[in-house]
Amino acid sequence: MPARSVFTVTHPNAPMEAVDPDIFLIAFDLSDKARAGSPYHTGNLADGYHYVRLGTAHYAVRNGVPYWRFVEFGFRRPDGTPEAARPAFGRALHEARVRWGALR
Amino acid sequence: MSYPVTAQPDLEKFVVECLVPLPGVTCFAYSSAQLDLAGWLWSYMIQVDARAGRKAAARDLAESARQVMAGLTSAPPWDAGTVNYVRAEAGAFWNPDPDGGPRYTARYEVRVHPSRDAWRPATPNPRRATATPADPRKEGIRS
Repeated sequence: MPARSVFTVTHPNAPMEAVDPDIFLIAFDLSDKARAGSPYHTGNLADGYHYVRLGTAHYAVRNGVPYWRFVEFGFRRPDGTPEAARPAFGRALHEARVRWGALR
Repeated sequence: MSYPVTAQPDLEKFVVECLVPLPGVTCFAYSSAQLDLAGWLWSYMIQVDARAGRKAAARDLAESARQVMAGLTSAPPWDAGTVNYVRAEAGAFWNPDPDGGPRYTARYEVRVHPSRDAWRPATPNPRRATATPADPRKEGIRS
């Protein structure tokens, strides 16, 4: 006769709380790398990178500077001249994925 | 001790050649990383922009570009490597230019194997090559 085990989960959020410090470290590292890699003219764009804690093991890296997407993705001027992208966040994200094992 | 060095495949050039038939589509690689120690697997991040006169046309163009990107894994290997994995990292999303010009942007992660001919013997260290090996008999070293 097969053995039977019954478990009672007393702390459903325990796994999320266990990985919360690591997720915090990843969010901190990502925002730090994006800040370090962004072009610096007035410092407004670089200082705009920050992480926000949305919940347990749930973080977001944001930049509220309105011209962020034009620098990150590049754009074309009205006369048709292309302005090269300087994707600091994209590079930081790729680097973080390689570093933290998400691409293995 | 030296070991062969694998040449990094120029994936950006290959993707540009694949997207040439789509006028209004531009692409560039903005990051790359070596995923294994031997250099047999590379990860590239590629941004693809689709511009057209109207938003719907730009969206259709972005979809055509997406199909080309997704088909890279089944494309025959080019002389520098073989694409083995494509994943849409972001988009395609609406990303107009500052003057309102319609544009859709997408970002892809593409992994590629170098071709078998990419292995080259490592360039010898010039300092080691010119250094005279020590003669254990003269140095009085017993092995």
